[in-house]
Amino acid sequence: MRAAARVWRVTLVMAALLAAFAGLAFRLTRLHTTERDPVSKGPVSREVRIELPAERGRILDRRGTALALDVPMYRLNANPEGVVLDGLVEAYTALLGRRLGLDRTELERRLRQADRRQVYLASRLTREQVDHLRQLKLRHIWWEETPLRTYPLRELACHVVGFVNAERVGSAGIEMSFHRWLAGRPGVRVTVRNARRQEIADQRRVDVPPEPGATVELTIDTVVQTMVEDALDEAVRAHRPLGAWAIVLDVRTGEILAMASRPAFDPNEYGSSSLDGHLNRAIGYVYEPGSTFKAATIAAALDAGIVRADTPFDCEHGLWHYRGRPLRDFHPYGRLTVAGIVQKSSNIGAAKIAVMLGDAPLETYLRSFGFGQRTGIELPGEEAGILPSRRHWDALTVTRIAMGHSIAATALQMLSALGAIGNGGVRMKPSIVRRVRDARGRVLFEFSPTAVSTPLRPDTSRLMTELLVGVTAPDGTGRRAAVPGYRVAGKTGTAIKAGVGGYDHQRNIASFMGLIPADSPALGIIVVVDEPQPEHTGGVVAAPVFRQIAQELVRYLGIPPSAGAPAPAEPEPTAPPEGDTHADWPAI
Amino acid sequence: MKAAVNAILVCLVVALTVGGLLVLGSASAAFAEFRFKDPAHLLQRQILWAVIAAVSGVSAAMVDYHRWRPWVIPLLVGCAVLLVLCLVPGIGVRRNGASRWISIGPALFQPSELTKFAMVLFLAAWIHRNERRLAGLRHGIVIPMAVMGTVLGLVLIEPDFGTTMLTFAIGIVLLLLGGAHLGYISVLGALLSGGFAVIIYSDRERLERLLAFLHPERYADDAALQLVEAMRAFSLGGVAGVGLDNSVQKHFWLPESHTDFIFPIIGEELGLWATLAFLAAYFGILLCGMWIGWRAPDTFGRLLAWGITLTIITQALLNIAVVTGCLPTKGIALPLVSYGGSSLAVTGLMIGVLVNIGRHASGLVPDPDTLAIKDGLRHV
Repeated sequence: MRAAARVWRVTLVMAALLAAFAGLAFRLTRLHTTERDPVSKGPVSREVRIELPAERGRILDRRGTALALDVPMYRLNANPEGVVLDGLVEAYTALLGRRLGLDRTELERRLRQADRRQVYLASRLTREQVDHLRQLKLRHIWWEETPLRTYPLRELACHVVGFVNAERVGSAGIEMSFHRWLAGRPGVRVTVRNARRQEIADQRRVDVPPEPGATVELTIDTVVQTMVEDALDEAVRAHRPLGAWAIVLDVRTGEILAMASRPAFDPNEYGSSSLDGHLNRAIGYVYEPGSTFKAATIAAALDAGIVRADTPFDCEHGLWHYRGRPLRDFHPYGRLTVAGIVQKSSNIGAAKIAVMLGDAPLETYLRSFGFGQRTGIELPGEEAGILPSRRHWDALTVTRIAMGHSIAATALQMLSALGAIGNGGVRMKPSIVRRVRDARGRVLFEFSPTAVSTPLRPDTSRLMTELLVGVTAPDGTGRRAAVPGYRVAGKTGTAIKAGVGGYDHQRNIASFMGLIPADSPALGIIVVVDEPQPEHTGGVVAAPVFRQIAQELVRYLGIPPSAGAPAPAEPEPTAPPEGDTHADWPAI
Repeated sequence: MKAAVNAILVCLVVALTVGGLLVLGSASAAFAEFRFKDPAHLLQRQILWAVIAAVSGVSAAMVDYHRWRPWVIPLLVGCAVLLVLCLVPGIGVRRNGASRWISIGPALFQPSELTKFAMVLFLAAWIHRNERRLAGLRHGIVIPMAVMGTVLGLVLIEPDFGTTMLTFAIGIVLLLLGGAHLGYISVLGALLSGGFAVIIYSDRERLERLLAFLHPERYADDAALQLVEAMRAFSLGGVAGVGLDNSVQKHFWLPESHTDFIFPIIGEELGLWATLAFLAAYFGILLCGMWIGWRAPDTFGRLLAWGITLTIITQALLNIAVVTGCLPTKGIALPLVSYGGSSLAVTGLMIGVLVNIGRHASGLVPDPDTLAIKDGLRHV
């Protein structure tokens, strides 16, 4: 071959190779300088951002008993691709089905999804179960810690505590209203994993540990709460009502010692309970209070100086026509003093007192008692009740409001108003949170008693309390609320529920609210029973519940018996308390 | 200048090998740790192979390349026997569905690597002997193609599609450089291309792999997984690289990151400058090899030098083309860098032969056999 021919043949080959080199150099430059992922079209990155869940703060009662806390649980995952490739489906199905008690058909279905690299197999595995699995060294199986919100006392105070949803967002009760403090701040970890999901050593870029949530201490006392709930449950068994609820309030400070509502639910399984049970009726159910409201009406008249305790009224023998409309008493009475009207719960008497007081002063007093506005308790779902402005009242409204109709309130509003009567006329802001402490123990919030309004003068307060003591006397409507050894000031209520087209006399709300001890009221308790069967009056249905609660409570809290009260059947508690918070009271 | 070419060649080869070992130590660590519980396991073996390659290369450099000529036929036959042995159960070792290896004691040997060298030797010797008849169909095309087809057929049924194609391509280029008729070469090239096309289209899996490289994102979970991860590796490395040993992709994201797909790891850890440097080093070897061939004292030396150079360079180009998504995925190692003992040892041997030709070409070896006048006389 001639040299010239050789030259151009070599040149041809070299040119082709040179082109290839140049092309590859260009291609390499392109690949190195692109930041676009060939698949996702986003930036190329192998970093994974892992959110480290923060431990949610606990919810405690005033004694430190846990009502809500996080329990470490584990979620089991598998890589079906690997499981299928290694032919482990049957073995894993049998093993995990046996060890963890999982449904084998479902397990096998999930493990057979060979096109997936991650499926979830089971949640809520305990540490013991996971330790067991760890020893087996199973390939393609891993777990992640997922704290599980647990409510160890189950239904107890469920409406107060509330619950978190599947995303761990507080969705009811304190869990909801204090979510931001309870939730803490999740940590974040930016790291790199290999294709087998293991973190690559030394490649961790960011590691911010989670900040645990704050602990919320409630004013609730689980012992008191248990007493209240037991009493309510008993009443529910006896009267088969639509609902029943009760609150125990320290009238001097506004702290709520117990708040219960029936029907209830187990917050651990909030999803499987009826929504009706989720309603915290103590603050979320607005009802016409009926006769218990007379306490507020008459206190207002007394405070305004319109009437005195001994002012007589003609109670018209049970039927009074006012402006052409009849007004009836449950039992007919002739002449009753104001004290008698309270004791016998005369509608006619209360109406006449309210008419004497007049629309404007009555509304002013009622607003001062807190009706028509939320108490501002630290719970979601509180209702404001209905107190129409005086401009919307007709001529009859004042007579209806006097006896607790044409007005609607929550049990907490009623008890708060009663608390003002018992607390020298000063109404304290009801509160259910005692303290909030962060994970390092710093106090973020501390309860301090707050007066909201002063509807009554101290002397009216004392006088009205004395009149209410008459209700629990042997001839009062609330005699079944009497607690041996203690003077109890209270008021019964039997409200007729409004239905379609007017009031339905077959459907009642029976209630009782009272103060104990009457001489220097410490506790206010309200019990409301919705549509009890077959008895329906507050004196028969609610008063005994009040007594049961109050009786246990005074012993538990060591409240000394009242002088001059009927002798107790049981020995008196010793060691009268000192100080003004319940924490100082010795538990029995 | 003359003496410098050999020195440059050796320096480039040593640089590539040492650089390759550095990256291999990093790239193979995660896999070796996982498979052998020792991150240095593969590196140690590769160093051992590198020593073997160095020894065989130095030996070959000291042996007059003319001495290979009598061994062409025995070597070719030996290769064919070894290739057959690969298919024999018990002797041959099957991996990933291919019978490409023979077990020799603790190591595996891949006869197809040696076959490349044997084929180059054969063609160089054939062209040397039949240079004047090479423009004819019989000597220029039919006989060499028959020999190649026979031996490479054994490689194809292993199966080792990539090596077959590569060796055929080099064979044709050598025939072209040796003086075969251009028309015949064109027809032959067209026929072989058509044949490969038929083979590709007859096998659904091959077709899928072929399509995968054209649309890597569409096959990212499957056929183009490697390619997608390779592309990510280059991108992650950027211009400067993430630093030696800091590759993420080697942690099982990029399969075969220590063998055929080691180049993307170089790109990830050392960046664009390193990959361009590796590319430049291969280009340097190409220039040295072609220069040596051009200056070789006889046709045998010229074609042998070119054949060796083209074998190494074409492999490198194909490998880089594959890992950058310019060609469909083929099992072709990156010479001097990828993990694999047979490839490294044979490459070392070939470089040694090339260096020896270089010594003759530079006139460093006063061998009468290499005198130009005598070279010319042999063919009379």
